[in-house]
Amino acid sequence: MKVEVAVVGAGPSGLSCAAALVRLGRKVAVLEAAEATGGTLRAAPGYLAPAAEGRTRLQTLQAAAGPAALLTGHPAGSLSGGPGAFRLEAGNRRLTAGAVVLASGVRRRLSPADHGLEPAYNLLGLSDMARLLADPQASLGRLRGRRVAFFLDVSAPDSLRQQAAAMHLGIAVRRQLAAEVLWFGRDLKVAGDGLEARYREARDLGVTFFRDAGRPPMLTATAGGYRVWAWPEEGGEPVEVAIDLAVLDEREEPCLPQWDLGPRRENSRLGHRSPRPGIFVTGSLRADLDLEGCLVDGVAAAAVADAFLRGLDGLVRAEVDAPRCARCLTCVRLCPHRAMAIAWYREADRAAAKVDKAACRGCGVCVAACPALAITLTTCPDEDIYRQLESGGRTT
Amino acid sequence: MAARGVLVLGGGVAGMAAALSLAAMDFEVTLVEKAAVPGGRAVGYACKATDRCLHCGVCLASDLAEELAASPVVLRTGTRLEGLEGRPGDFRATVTGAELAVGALVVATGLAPAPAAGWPDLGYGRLDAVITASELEERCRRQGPPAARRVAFVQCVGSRNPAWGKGYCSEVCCPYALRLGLGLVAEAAAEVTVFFNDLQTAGKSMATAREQARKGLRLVQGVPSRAAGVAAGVELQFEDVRAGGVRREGFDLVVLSTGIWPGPDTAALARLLGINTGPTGFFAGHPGQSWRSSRPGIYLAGSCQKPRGIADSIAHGRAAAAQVAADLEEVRSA
Ligand SMILES: Cc1cc2nc3c(=O)[nH]c(=O)nc-3n(C[C@H](O)[C@H](O)[C@H](O)COP(=O)(O)OP(=O)(O)OC[C@H]3O[C@@H](n4cnc5c(N)ncnc54)[C@H](O)[C@@H]3O)c2cc1C
Ligand code: SF4
Ligand code: SF4
Ligand code: SF4
Ligand code: SF4
Repeated sequence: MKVEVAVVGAGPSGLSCAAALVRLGRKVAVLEAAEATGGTLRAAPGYLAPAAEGRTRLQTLQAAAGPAALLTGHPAGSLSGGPGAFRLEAGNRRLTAGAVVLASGVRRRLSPADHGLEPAYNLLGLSDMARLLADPQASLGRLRGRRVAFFLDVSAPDSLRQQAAAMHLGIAVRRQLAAEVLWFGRDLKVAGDGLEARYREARDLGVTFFRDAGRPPMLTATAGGYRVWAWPEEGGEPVEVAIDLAVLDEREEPCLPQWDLGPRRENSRLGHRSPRPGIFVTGSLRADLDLEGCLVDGVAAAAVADAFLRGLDGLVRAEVDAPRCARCLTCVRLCPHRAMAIAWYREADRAAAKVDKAACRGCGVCVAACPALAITLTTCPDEDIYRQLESGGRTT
Repeated sequence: MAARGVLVLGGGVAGMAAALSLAAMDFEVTLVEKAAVPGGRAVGYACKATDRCLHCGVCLASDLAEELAASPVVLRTGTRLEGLEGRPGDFRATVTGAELAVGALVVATGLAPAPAAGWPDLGYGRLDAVITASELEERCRRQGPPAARRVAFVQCVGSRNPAWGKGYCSEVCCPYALRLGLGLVAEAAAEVTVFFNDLQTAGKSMATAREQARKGLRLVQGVPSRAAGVAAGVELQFEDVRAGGVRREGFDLVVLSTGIWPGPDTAALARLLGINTGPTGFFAGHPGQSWRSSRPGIYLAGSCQKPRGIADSIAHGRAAAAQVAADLEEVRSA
């Protein structure tokens, strides 16, 4: 399968990127390891946004990315080749792609040991909690009117998206189960899209926030739940509460395929280009973005990849096999960029059609029309491409 | 060919990123900037690296400005938009001294810091030793760090209060204050106190800054309600949320972290362009496609749509460019 861009990962940023590329008229394939698209939006509804809003967002994204080839159950495997002609293995498929956008996100893993705890049934990660809340089969009814506490800034300190998740989930727990909700963390994060308003909503619903003053809360398991000691005041007495369910933040690891992306640059985090030309990075793999941030970022990466491909387009040129040319002038007449003319070939010692490499855009019109099959399209060798890239990716 | 032409309004990081992306996608771009030089607010900031890069994103602004100078983007500085007629794919825009035929318009007119004088209790304009964070930065850049020993930062001025119609967090002022504060500690051995509500230090690089801040700065939860002039500087009155009770403390310099408000031209431009603003006064974007305005053919980029830092504004500018390109290709082939 041959595409212009291969997007790795079908979460919100990958789908948003694929949709934007499709709108830009690009041929796109999306490789997704899971059996369905949506990433976190599907696997943990209610994590990135309130569940209902997340569902509509996902439907919109899936519809917009529809024209792309969505290869679910195809994890990205090995990669070879270079800009203009990457070769990718994905499950049982082989792809060639002009450029690659990595939108594979992060893997989240519950790590009770970070919180000084053993794994237990009444101990969940944020993403498990999202899954259970959305699952009509899950028997969360037993939590009705009980106490549920969220613990942040431990496994993943300073994570905006996990804090946003806790806010969305805390509100959902309060509304769906009428459970008492407590929040423990170091700093409360409100620097996200609409997050300040969600925080106010949570407070109005009676969610209690305990910000620790330099000393994280301590948890011990009891018969049916946990006992928590928290120190909301510096040097003050601890607050002691009994809870029925503890929801913990999770470790995050980038989901990167085993490719050599070249040496990391200091501020590479700030851009969409990976150190390796032709490979771009977007979404939560790139930065601590919320849902709105991921949607914007996917489209932004599409713009960067598209501009890159336009630079490459200029590198594909028609070439005439002079001895075969019948001098019919078809190509001269048809070339939309007036790149063909009849000229003298010294080595062949005859006149034939000749391409003006500066004017040719590699559209292939002449190739298809030539009755003598004398014209081919060739890509410039890698060295030429790299030289072009160094001069800003443009042709002269 | 109107449909190949795009007008970008505002030459901050978002406008530059949008213009450069569009130019790289072979559009003919005119960038209209009302100031004498492009770059917007971000080119005025200084690098915040201490012994290492703190990912403030400021160098991205000068990188973009350099790239812009070398690009085919037509830059018109000292220029404003005066009128717009037509429809998507075929607009006629009147700018100072010229008329342009363009297919689309990207609005990237940016932000304004909250007006510090709006909180008279905090002493701005009344007390010389009360300044804003950007004034502090400006002063550091011109004359080096101030001689003040005891410095206080007051966070959330003009943000996070629905009573002012600004019920949002401005997102950038916490990292900004921490980085400036760390700079003062490193360069002027100042004792820096930061009065905050909640510290917004998301992301790995900010975690680094936060760790440094924990060691180097005094962080006090609770924001002062008033400032009074005293012989030895300024006395701040605040409720210490963590230790409890109202307290007073003297400082040589008080720095107000004013939040992000919509740029000064937002309301007038919204009328001129016939696009909507939202409840907080920023241009209103489509849900899920925040780079589209309420009017087809007009797009939004950067902090004119909601508070955004430099890196996010650049991404938003690129997203707007992708949408413009897609929509204009569609207009052309229709
Ligand atoms: C005090 C303060 C500190 C900050 N610190 C940081 C930081 O450390 N890190 C960070 O990432 N971000 C920081 N930010 C945010 C940063 O300034 C913005 O992210 C960035 O400037 C947004 O870029 P922009 O292009 O959207 O808008 P702007 O930078 O505001 O640029 C808008 C441009 O449009 C022009 N313009 C406006 N109206 C018109 C008009 N009608 N016609 C033509 N041109 C017009 C303006 O002259 C200006 O050049 C800070 C902001 C403030 C207020
Ligand atoms: S159409 Fe083909 S054969 Fe005919 S002149 Fe052109 S290149 Fe030669
Ligand atoms: S590839 Fe296109 S531009 Fe180049 S010579 Fe053939 S028809 Fe002309
Ligand atoms: S990101 Fe900021 S701190 Fe890092 S090098 Fe650039 S300007 Fe300096
Ligand atoms: S970034 Fe910090 S100072 Fe600015 S509004 Fe948000 S919490 Fe307040």
